[in-house]
Amino acid sequence: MIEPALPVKSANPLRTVRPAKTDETVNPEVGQASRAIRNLDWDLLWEKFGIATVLAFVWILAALATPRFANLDNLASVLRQSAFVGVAAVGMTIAIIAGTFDLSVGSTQALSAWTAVAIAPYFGVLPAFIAAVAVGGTIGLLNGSLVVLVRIPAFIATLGTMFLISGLTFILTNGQTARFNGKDFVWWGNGLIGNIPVPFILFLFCAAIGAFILHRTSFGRYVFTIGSNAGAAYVAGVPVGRTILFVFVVVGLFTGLGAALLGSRLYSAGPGLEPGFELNVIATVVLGGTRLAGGRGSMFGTVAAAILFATLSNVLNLNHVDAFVQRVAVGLVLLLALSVEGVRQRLVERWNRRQRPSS
Amino acid sequence: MKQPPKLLTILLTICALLPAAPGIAAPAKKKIGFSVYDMQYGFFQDMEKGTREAAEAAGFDCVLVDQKSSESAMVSATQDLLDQGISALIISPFKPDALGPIVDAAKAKKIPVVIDDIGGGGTDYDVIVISDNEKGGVIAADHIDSVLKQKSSASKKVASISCEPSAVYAARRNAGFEKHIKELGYEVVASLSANSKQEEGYKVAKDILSAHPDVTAIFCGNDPMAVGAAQAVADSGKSGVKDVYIVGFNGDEIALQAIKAGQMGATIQQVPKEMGKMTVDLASKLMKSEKLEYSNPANREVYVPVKLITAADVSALLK
Repeated sequence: MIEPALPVKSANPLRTVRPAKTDETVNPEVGQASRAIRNLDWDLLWEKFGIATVLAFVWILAALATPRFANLDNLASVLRQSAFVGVAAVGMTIAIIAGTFDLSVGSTQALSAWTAVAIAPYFGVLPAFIAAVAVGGTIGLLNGSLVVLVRIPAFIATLGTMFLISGLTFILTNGQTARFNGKDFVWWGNGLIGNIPVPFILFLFCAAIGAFILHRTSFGRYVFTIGSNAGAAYVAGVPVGRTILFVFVVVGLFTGLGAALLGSRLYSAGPGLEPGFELNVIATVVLGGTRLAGGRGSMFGTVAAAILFATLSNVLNLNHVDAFVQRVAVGLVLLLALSVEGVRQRLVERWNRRQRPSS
Repeated sequence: MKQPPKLLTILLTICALLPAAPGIAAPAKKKIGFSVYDMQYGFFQDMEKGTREAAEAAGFDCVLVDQKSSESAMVSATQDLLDQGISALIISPFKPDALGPIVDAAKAKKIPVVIDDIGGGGTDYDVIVISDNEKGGVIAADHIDSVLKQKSSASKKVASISCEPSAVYAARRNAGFEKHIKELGYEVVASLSANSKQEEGYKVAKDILSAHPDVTAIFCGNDPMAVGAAQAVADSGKSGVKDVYIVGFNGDEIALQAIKAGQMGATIQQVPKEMGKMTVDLASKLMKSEKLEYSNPANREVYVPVKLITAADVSALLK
């Protein structure tokens, strides 16, 4: 048997959670080549690389249409910008695959970033980052406890903590912005290694950790299983409660790290840091091909989507597109991407129905 | 993945090749970048208009980005401006505290930075353009004096309501007012902060009116507080023009409406269009490495005059 270069259905670990499709009958008369094509999982291919392909096209178009786009400084800015939403999106990807989500990441980001900037001048860079991550993890633990132990639906629980944390941050900070421009602190958000922005490198590192957690640990397997069918997972002996609790903690930890990076980038952090941040994060994850319903998704897609959003905003700025039109554009891209997804899924369903004889 | 997928390889190759793509030849005109606070507000629309018209008149291209009232967008959008080869940066910062990375990035590219209003965040900017706030307070004092002289009111008691203490430029309005009105022989019976807010302006004015029923004029550091104070005066059965003369600051639409309706006396209008024009003048001087003349050299400030707006002027402004 030839080693397949591209994912084929039988070798797909994700499919273990969707057993309905794995038992497809293969006609033995069909030749090797066409069988290989038939066995190519276009579905998974699109899920994994679809958005990356779109990103590649957007970059080529942008480079051709916008003179200043393909300029090393500008590309570095785009990649840097993708990191601040991206790091939080790594955690959110895991949450959405598990079939849940977290609306409090915007408030968490504000409090964590403020903590980092407020602590850095007195205790140094490392304690500042650790404190920001710890604040995120604590809020995650609170969210997880509310969802798992108190059994409040994730939407309401995290909406509640969103208001709670945001209000608390305003009270704690007295509405004042913290400011610190120490060289070793702001390097983490602004520095370059070669021509690659430091926060982007950290973003890729986080995404790699996220992918490892998802695909190489039993926790990751539980996440996929619960996202596909929480009830069945519970019956099968998956520790659903513990897993979901830990998912929220993971979201908080990544959000805290992203927040510290943003504080470093801005040399400052105010109590109302980035309005609508949680929705940007969720939009990034969904654009990256992760199903909002749970059970499927990819970290690679999230990375590509974060870069795509940053690219979009950059290209629109470079072309002096009005800010209101920019919002329309972001909305359209999201709707278009999800429409493509929806239409594709329907086509796949129809195709599968026709392929399988009703014997 | 047992073998690197071809798509990924292709993608990476494209990414690697992109920077090598030939750029289009630089345009002959020099570009001035303007990073605006938020184009949702009329004040900044006027400021943008003034900036753009002055830049075009001086033979520059004017490139705009909008910070959309977000400090994160402020830094990323302004970075986009700096990356596209502008010769000078004009910025009205949403959060002066987050100006650090912008000013540092501009300095690294040797691009002069002109700040338009709001604040400089303690950074190493070249010049900041602000309204002549102190003079505005003085104009308000003179106007109140001339209005009260026409009336045979016995009391020489006035009050002053200021913005939050952290708004250092706005604080100069009340400082200028209080200093000059005392010189004119009045007594400032109350000087309180209402945190720039209309509802707090209402509350503070109520307190002032009950503590000093004979107060004859109130000067407010911004228009929302003035409108709030006018409501408090109206609630106590008095007129914000005839009994307790209210003067605001900014020239906001709500204040113009209140003046038109006879609820308050006057406002001191900031002229964002003129401020925009001034920033372009300063930017073009900086691009030619000319020396600037500051109104306040210690903080590299340049002041733009403000205007008194009374009932006679509002109908023209409201159209």
